[in-house]
Amino acid sequence: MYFIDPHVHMVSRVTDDYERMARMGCVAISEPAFWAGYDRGSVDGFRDYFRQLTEFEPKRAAAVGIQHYTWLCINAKEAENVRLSREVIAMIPEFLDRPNVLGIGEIGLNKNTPNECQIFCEHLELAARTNELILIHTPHLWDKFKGTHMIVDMLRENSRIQPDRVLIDHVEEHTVRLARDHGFWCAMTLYPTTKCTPARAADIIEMYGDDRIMVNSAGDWGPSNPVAVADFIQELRRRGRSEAQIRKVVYENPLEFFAKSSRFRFTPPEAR
Amino acid sequence: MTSPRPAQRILENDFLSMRCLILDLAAALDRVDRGKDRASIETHQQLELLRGGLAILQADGPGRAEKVQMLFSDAYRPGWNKG
Repeated sequence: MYFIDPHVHMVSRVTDDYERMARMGCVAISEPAFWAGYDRGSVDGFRDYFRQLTEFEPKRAAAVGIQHYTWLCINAKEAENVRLSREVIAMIPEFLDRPNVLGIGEIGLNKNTPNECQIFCEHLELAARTNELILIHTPHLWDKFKGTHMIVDMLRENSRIQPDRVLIDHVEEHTVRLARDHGFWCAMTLYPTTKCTPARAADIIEMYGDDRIMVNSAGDWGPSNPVAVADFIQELRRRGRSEAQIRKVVYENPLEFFAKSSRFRFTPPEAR
Repeated sequence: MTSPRPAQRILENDFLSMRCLILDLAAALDRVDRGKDRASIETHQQLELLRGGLAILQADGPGRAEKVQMLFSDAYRPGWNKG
């Protein structure tokens, strides 16, 4: 079965991972900008990173037949440097006409601090002004329930943000309703220890339905599995789900959301 | 996409993996008990949380997973950004 991984940090992965993903059926990925493992020191550091996301990674992905899309921002972990964050937000429009850019992301909260909230709102303003899609990171562990609520509050307080153009990521059992009830898209992340397992993600689909929801690996430089979406497909097959039901979550839903970006161009594997 | 499978089939299919999860947890708690100065952590917040989680598992469903998530979550205060 073909699938799309809507959240994976391929700059942190080797080419073997691209090849493995392609062999498993991955035909497209989207790669949000994120934290490099250290705080970057200047806006030029981000400019170089955005070039990597818009120039080099699409070529590396295309070499194995995967279509590469991306999202731009400064991650919440670096939002405590408000001055640098504002320089990066001001620089992002330089890249918004690149063909593989889907929008602003992954923005959000990490420790739910006032500075993170301020920079999140400034990213929202940029997205509203430029009519970009938004991809949102929700905090890990203890902070997730509170932070997801805070994020939804800030989104709803900005009247120019359309919920169906926002994807709230890393939802789990205690946050999935919050995202869906307010009309946002959402995604579950399949991680080895934190976030969701394939079985729990399948449970959430069974309980809350398969509209406006997708799954991703969020593969990065930490413990993670870039072919986790294939494990989720196997879990649904084990439960007797039809191929059409599975395809909706792992292929059609990401396509429907991405297609809201005016730059999104996708060639189905059958048409190549 | 509601679950169409009979409960007995789900139980029998998942029994070994559930048994494995319980054994892993039992062994991890034994590991803690074998540690030095075990008595000093009797009221440790993390141990209390694990006990709370086990109590949720023993209670009737549904929604055990969500209840465990809430046990391990900071509280949200509506109106946090007002005034």
